[in-house]
Amino acid sequence: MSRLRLVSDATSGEPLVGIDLGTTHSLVSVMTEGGPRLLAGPGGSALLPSAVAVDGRGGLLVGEAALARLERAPDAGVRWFKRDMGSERTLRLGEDEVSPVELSAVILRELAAIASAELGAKVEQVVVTVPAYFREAQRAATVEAARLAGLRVVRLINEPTAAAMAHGFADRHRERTILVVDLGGGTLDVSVLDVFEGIVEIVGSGGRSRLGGEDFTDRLYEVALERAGLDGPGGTLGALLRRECERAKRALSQVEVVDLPLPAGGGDEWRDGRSFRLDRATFAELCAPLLAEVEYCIRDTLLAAGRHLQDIEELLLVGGAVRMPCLRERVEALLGRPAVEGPDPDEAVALGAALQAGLVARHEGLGEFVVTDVLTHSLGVEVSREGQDRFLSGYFLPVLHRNTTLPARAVERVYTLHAQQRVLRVAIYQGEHRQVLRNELLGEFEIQDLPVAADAEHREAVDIAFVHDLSGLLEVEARVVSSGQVARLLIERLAGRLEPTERAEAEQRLARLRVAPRELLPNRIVLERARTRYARLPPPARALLDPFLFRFEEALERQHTGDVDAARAALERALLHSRCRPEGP
Amino acid sequence: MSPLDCETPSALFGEAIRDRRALRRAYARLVKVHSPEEDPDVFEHIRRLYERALAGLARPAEVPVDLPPRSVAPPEPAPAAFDASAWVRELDAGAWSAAMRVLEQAIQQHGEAEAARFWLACQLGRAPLETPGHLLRLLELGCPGSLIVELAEAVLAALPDVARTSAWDQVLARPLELPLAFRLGMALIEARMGLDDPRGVAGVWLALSPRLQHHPGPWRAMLERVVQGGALALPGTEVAHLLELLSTTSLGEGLPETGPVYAWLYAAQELDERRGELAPPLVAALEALQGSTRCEALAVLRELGAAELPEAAFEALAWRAPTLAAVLVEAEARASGAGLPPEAGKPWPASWEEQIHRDPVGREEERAVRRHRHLREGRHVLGALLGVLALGAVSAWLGARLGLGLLQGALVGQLAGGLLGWVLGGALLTDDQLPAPPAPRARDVLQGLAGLLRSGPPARREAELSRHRWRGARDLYALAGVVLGAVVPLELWLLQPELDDPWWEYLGGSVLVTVIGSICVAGCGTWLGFELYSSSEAAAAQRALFLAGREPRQRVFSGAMRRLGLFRSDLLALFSARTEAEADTVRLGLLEALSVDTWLGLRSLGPAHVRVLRWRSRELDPELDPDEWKDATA
Repeated sequence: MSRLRLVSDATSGEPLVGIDLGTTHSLVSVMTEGGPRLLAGPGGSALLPSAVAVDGRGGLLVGEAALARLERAPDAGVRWFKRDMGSERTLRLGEDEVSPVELSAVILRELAAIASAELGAKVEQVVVTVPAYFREAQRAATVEAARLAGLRVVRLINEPTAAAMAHGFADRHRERTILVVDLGGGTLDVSVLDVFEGIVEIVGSGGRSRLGGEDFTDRLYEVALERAGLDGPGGTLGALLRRECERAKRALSQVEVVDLPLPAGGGDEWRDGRSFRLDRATFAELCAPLLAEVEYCIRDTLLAAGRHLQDIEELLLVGGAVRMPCLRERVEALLGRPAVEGPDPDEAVALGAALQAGLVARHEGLGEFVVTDVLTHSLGVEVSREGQDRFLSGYFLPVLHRNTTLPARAVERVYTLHAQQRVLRVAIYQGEHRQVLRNELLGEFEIQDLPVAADAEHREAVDIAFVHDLSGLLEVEARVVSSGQVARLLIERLAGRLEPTERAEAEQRLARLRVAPRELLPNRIVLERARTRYARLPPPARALLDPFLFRFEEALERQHTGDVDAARAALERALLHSRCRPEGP
Repeated sequence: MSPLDCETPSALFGEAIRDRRALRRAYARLVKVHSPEEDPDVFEHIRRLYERALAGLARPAEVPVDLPPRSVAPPEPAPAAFDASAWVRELDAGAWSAAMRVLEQAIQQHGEAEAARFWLACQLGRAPLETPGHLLRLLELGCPGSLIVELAEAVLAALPDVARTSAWDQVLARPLELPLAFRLGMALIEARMGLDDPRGVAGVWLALSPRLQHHPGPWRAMLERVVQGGALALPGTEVAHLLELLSTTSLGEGLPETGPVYAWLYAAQELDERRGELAPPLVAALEALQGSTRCEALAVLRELGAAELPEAAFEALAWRAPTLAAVLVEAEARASGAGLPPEAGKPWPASWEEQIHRDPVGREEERAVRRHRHLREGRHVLGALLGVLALGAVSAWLGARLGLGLLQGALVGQLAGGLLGWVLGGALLTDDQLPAPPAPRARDVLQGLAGLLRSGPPARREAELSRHRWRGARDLYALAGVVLGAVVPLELWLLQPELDDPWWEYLGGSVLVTVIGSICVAGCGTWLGFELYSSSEAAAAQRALFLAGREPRQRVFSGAMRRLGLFRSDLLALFSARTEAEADTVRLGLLEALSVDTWLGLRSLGPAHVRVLRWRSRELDPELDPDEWKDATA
């Protein structure tokens, strides 16, 4: 096959790729002459599990290999760290305490390596997708993760916007209003968009940053624990049971009834106990609160976007978790129409990211394709309000409202509190609450030396102007009306927030976790998968697998490339054999 | 004039501000020139005026957001207007056409799923190979797609041979919802894989391809089904064949980024891992994606599929499901008053109809077959036993009296008695003594079949029953052996007063004679009884039932031969392997051919296993040249 003709940034000539940094899986994609395309890793799959782990020697495992390692040693690594982005929480990775930002950086570095290998050119510029409902700190953390991975984020794009682009691109001239429900592993995003005349226009976005497919699995896990009479086992048993719950949840997308195997007794070893018969209706009942939350979120988003349920002409479901029939039925019943067939739910966001990369790079094939996005959270300033006998501070005055189309500008006039006021502090917040305490502070600045008025009743008027561009740059300007005095603050939302010293420390920590050259990814994936499989096989089958596994381990020790390849090929074939595929946990 | 010069919506959009659609069109035209990426300031200005213009347009009738949700499902049909019992009464009276009309009305007017099942059952009886046509008719009658797919799955599970016809493409081409079309496609793929029909699998693939080409997920799922289908997985050569066939299409023509290509890449990876020898056809297939047109390939495939379809398919159907076919043909013929077609002339116990009615998946029927067979076989064994017991003792006594000696007398008497008893036992208990079956009734048959369509594939249960049956037969023979063994002490006890020789001499001879005699008698009786039983006319139908619906004997046989051949060639390869990698490949082949326990057992024998292997190999292939074997094992 011919090598890809990739899209590069028109200004720098460097390749520009789109990255879907997901809670459970991540993908990298690129815009080519033939349209957006996913790039597959060494394992052959485009889906890279968002998992990081360390092996017994402290070597770093990413993706499939980490996932396999985590099945055997749940404490050896971390998954679902995207949910903690933007928080101060640290997670344990082997001997080290690392932040979600650093873990995301590992995934991003891996994705960039995949893209570089596939495209034959070093990838340094990326378009990254984030949940629409990510707050500023979470977005900044994502940007920071990319910087740690040596990447420059040229655009952060909302996930439902990306999915809608991938869906709307093919049929962009047919006029309709689409509701995109993106339920990923950890987040829910809802977007309303209009498609007409080759334009995809986002009308409104909403969502929940901690509601996803994993919550449905957690709910099932809780019930399974209860049925098994266990009191929250940790370690391997808990991981195995949770994996079974995940498997049962997925199976319910295909069949009406599944048997969820439960472990007998406590301990850390899985012993088969009785199983729990689970049908779709029971599962829907168990997850009723979560489904209600999804429905509430959809209604909420429609309300904020000024649209009604009846306005929606197409329903698009995105994200792996929308395969759950209970969710699909609930949303379809709410909208009164079936979901349309769009791109693969797992891949839509990444394909949209590639389209966005194409738009940024002004790709020729996208000449007539225009996408407009909206602000997902209101932006404004802190003000005081005058009561009967005093001023009450801490109120939020939105200047740019949620769901305003970007780029946007708006001006609000505020007044000083009294005639003698010489300094005006402008604090910029993001959020929807009336009080700033519950919103997020983005920055602040002051205007000094305000003119002093002779009249005690005089209040100085100050115009606060917000200008927000597509690349995430927010400029806030305060202009004193009487004197023309001006103060500005530029908030670069794609700049990251770590101090140089903090970044240097994080880079050092990441450098310590480098993968040894001999332990290349395909080898690690196969080795971890084989070891996990071996632990689950009955004794006769173990005896079958053992010679292949031993030979591979030995070849890895000798570090002879030819031997390693041959032994890996033999081991992979053995793993595919039906005798080496256990049915149970 | 630049948009920035316009201060009002009407100045910018002109007359378009009076109509939402025209306004959008005008806005789109401007935005394409001044996109937010390239011209943010102008875009922002256009956007502001656009929003003002939109605000000026009156919204259509406002509807509150919190209306009760509309239901996705169509409204529930009216309470059952279709009375199944009245209908079958009508059917029994012979009014076939009227009964069909009743059914069609019930489907058309009330969406009766049960009526649709009955209707399909009737049509299957008349023309099972035209299942796709029947399903299309049901679609025309207004049956929902989900029911159609459900029925198709049930028919394919019960009568997999109907999957052979290419008419399924017409069903797949109907505007079923994609998930339903996919489900139907998967059922067809599975059925055709069970029939070792890679061309058929490719046909389904091609029929679905226009709708799936943008969706790599289903493609991948289909490939996984073919490559990793467990017991149904196609052999490597056939997967290669399938890929070659598919490569003649232009699925990738102009669509290099679409689903099929992902599927190809996945297949390349997956198959390459499993079978290195498939790499060349895969490479060829990938290259060929740029080649011929899809229409050409479809035409070729259809031609290939159609050329061998009707006769082979019908034969397979009659062979694999004779009971079902006969039942249906009989029912249809009775109802229509026409003469029986030749297929219906095959004798089959009428009691089965009722059994089907009571137990659609045939558990009771299986039990009846087993009971029947045991009776027929057991009576020979029982006769032989009685003969041994009676004549053995008498002739021993006579032998002693006439000077022949106890041993010789017992030998002659027991053999003669066994044979005579077996013949008499078989002759005394005839088929007439079996309980007479009630007369067949069409409604039972059809209700049974409708039940079968509801209940899905009974393969697993049948496999279970099959195992029990063999176990039962084995137990019966064991019991016969035990009873025969009891003859020895009985004879000893009867003849004790007459003994001239010491009793232990008699005992030794008698034990020897009894054991040999018992084995001969039981073995001959069983073999002859089974052969006679099998050749009888009534038993032919029973044997057909035994073969129907589960692993056909021919396939088992050919599978076994293939495995044995593989085993032999693997052994040769194992001993001629020069590198560890080659030996690994061979071991994997052996894994396919042998059970785990056998393989482990051979391994644990150490050097001795070579002798075992040699013995097995010689046994498996008597024509193997000893010199060649010697060279191979050197």
